[in-house]
Amino acid sequence: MMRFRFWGTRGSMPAPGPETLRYGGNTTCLEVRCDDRLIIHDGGSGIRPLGLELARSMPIDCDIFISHTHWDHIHGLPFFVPLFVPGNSIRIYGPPNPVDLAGVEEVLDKQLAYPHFPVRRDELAANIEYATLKDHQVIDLGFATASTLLMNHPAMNFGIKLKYKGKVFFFTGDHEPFGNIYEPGDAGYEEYDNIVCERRQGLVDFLADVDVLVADSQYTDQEYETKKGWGHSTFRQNLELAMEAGVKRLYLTHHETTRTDVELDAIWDGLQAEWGGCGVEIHLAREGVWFDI
Amino acid sequence: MKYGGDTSCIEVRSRNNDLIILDAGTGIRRLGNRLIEEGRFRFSLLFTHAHWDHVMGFPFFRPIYDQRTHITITGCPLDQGNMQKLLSHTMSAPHFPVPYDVIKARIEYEQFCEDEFSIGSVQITTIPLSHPNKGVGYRLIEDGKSFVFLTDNELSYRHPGGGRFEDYVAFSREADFLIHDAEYMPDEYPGRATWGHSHYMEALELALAADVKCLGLFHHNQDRADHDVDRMVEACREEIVRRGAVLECFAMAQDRVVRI
Repeated sequence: MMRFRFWGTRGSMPAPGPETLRYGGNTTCLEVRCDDRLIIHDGGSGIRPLGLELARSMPIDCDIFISHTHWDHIHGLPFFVPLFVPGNSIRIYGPPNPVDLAGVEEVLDKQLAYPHFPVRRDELAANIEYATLKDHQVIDLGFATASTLLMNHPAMNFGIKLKYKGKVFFFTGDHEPFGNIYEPGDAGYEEYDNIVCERRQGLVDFLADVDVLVADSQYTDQEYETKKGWGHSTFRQNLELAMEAGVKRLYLTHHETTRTDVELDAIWDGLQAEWGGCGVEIHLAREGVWFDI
Repeated sequence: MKYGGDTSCIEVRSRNNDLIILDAGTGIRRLGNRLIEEGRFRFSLLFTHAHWDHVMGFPFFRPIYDQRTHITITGCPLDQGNMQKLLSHTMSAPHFPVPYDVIKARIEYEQFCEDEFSIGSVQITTIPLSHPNKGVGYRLIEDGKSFVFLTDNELSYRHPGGGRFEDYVAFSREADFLIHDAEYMPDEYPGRATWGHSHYMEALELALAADVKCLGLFHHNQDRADHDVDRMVEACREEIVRRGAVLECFAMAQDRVVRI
């Protein structure tokens, strides 16, 4: 059986406090179980409590996929207890540094470095292997397969598709719909428009066999007006994507940092009113609840 | 909920409403939102050190994206470089999409390597912390009242460059208010000695030895539940009574205002 739960649902920055208790204040982290095998998506602050839970049943063996290396997707990693304990086997997959194409391990070196953190990467005691991802790569995990798709974000961000016993799960990481950077009439507009169409179709095709889609939905339509190009999607854009790709179940996550539980409840009501009956089962991500895939 | 889940950030206001911000942990995000509401654009930042939990809120501090903002960062460069350079690490690819260069605020770096300097009506003295990768502790004095801020300070292990217990006693002597690192329970400490933090009984010993008036337990361990923080406070209060000492003690909680 394949199932998953969120340990972090928040975008950009942890937002603890009374107003975010129900949907959660930790930044991105998902636990996916393929029967007893463990896959983790992203190392936001939610990976810290997940690590504490895993610490009860060490040694552990797991695969961690880092969608991209913005802080909110990695800043929990140095507090993931299993990394520090000998006997654990952990494989970390992530994008290279797009500037110098250094591997994912070098990206973590910058985080685990004096004077910002007292422990260096070399000192982590678990058996850790690093693998730097490429676009359209298919990785055989032994028990499942993971395939990558380059998404649209101001960092190299890979969406990851997991297949296990006939079930298919996809997590976008951070993503904004592909858009034309030129204005109509500009030189280059049409050429770029072809690329945009090609990549959008590529994503729709990639999602064709997906049962469960977990998607960055940081903004409302209104917020998006002033945040185009920031690398995040709206609730509406994800619903349109799910419908076009024929995905039946959609989990909306990466909640805007300042979004309160009450505001999310209102968004939920709005989504039900507007999209109820569209054929896509809609969920707002919340920490701690198991969902079957 | 009761004590809060954000990392270190303290707002200090002087009698003339000078604003001094100590550290830029995640709590500075909410402070920034409030300063914008208040229309406040001029303030100073002091840093204890550059571990992530003390700087990671900086990119989310909205005033830095407003050109009316004027920030003075005061202090002595750490061995690893000045704070501007270290803060720029929080805003660098591939970890953050906005580079440090696009900050609209005017940010000045005022180098002070002497032990004493002042910000407005507040006089400030400093002491090196006992912590891996070092750090700085502060005593803020105004009109004879003083507030000592020592976080990420391990009282019973001397890290390179750090002081001895007696040095921190002398530094905190008769302070009106002492905030000290109380990350651990005494029984947790042996497994975490040399990690750079103190347990609450050590913080209490310091407060008693220095004859301070009020102690705020700080830098709560990330796994510490509110009811366990309550237990720490009760244990401190019982010990104060047992010794017949006069000392007010509580645990620091987000949004709590302390008038010194």
